[in-house]
Amino acid sequence: MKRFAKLFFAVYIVMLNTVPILAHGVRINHTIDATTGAITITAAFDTGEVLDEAAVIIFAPNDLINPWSTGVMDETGAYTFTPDYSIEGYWDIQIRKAGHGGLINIAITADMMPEEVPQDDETASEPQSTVTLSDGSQIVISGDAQFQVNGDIVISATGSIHDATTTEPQVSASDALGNGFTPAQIVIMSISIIWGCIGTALYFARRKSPQ
Amino acid sequence: MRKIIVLLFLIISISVATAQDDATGTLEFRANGEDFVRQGFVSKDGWNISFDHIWVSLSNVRAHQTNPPYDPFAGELTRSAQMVGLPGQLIVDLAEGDADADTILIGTVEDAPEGFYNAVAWMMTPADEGDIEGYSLVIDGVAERDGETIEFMMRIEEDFTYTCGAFVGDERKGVLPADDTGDVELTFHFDHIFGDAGSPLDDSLNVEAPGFDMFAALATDGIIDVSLSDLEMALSSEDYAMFINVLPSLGHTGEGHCFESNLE
Repeated sequence: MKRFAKLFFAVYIVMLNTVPILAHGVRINHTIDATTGAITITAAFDTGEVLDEAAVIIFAPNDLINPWSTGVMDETGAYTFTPDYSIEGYWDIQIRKAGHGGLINIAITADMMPEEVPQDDETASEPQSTVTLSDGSQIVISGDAQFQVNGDIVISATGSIHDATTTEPQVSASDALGNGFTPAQIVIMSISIIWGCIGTALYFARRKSPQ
Repeated sequence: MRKIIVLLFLIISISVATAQDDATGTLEFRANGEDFVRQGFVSKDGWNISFDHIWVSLSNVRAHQTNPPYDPFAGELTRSAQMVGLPGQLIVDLAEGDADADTILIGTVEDAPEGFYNAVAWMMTPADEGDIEGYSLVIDGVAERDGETIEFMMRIEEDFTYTCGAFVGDERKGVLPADDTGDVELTFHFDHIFGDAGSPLDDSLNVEAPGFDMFAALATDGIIDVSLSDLEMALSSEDYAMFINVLPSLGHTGEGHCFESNLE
């Protein structure tokens, strides 16, 4: 019991002497507007001094080298942007000013994408439809077309707008780091697991069999 | 039959392991005292500071791939998906080279797994042997102001453990593609000790920095040669506290701050 007490005391002393220090650190916070999906970053030194007009460098997880976007914080040390919610993973936002800086990682997933705001014409987002446009001379432009119209034009949608960005969902697998496996690797790993189960079963079956 | 099953199992296991281990590259560990050390600078109290040597004794130098990304504000690093590191104790002179010298290569790992090394950690511990034996940090420099010149040598025997997140700076560091070379950086900010005349005096950097005046008062015949324990005896308690409090903030990765846990 005495030895346990000594050990406990020693651990306690070590914990007391563990001094976490982050002097002159840059504190970065963020908020997400659930309606628009806009993310607002705020940054300040530990002293409370805001990082006004600091440089903002945003990296998306699909390109670790080249910034997805850059900008400058306002006079209150705030910056607002809307990420591409289809690029899932940790977004890396760096804030830098006068030789000091910091970063924040924000997890972005597709299910965080805000719902689209309903249009005046409720049929506007229906897929698999065509666009019909008409100018004041009742010239009708229908179907897929590239065009340029100059002048004072009144345009109204009589159909609905096809979502050209709709794509088939992709099937993939990834590890904890987001590193993908090839189909061949997945097959090999699956076979390995099955063989492992068979081997284990045989081992135990052998032990149970009569001598 | 069973032998064949076992043999097949081993072959498949090795194939899987090999397939996963193929994607590697060369990861360089670099140390950087920044232009403050290479080119000198003016302290917050007007001393022109230059350095002949700044030796640091490094150990447990590690780079990590962390997911979720490590946040130094969250405390100790407790999870790492991949880790590579350098063995032994490494003595590095941050003032090595001329004013435009590159950062200092302190070691490489040739077969590091590819990925994003978004955390780096190291310790500064007293050197086991050599010129700075018994010290983790030795600062050897010259300070000049208004015709007065002081040669100073400060020897620090304290332990420091730095754990940092991803590099913050002009370049992107820590990204290691397969069959390529990447680097991580251990950065040291000595303007945190002496302050920087290039920043406003009310900048938090200068408010927290001791400057050089407090050390200049200890000079004898233009020379200061002190250890940390000497400074504890010689400085006022307020000045010593200011100095000892700023030492843990020396370690950075680029401009990114680190978590420092000082185990005495």
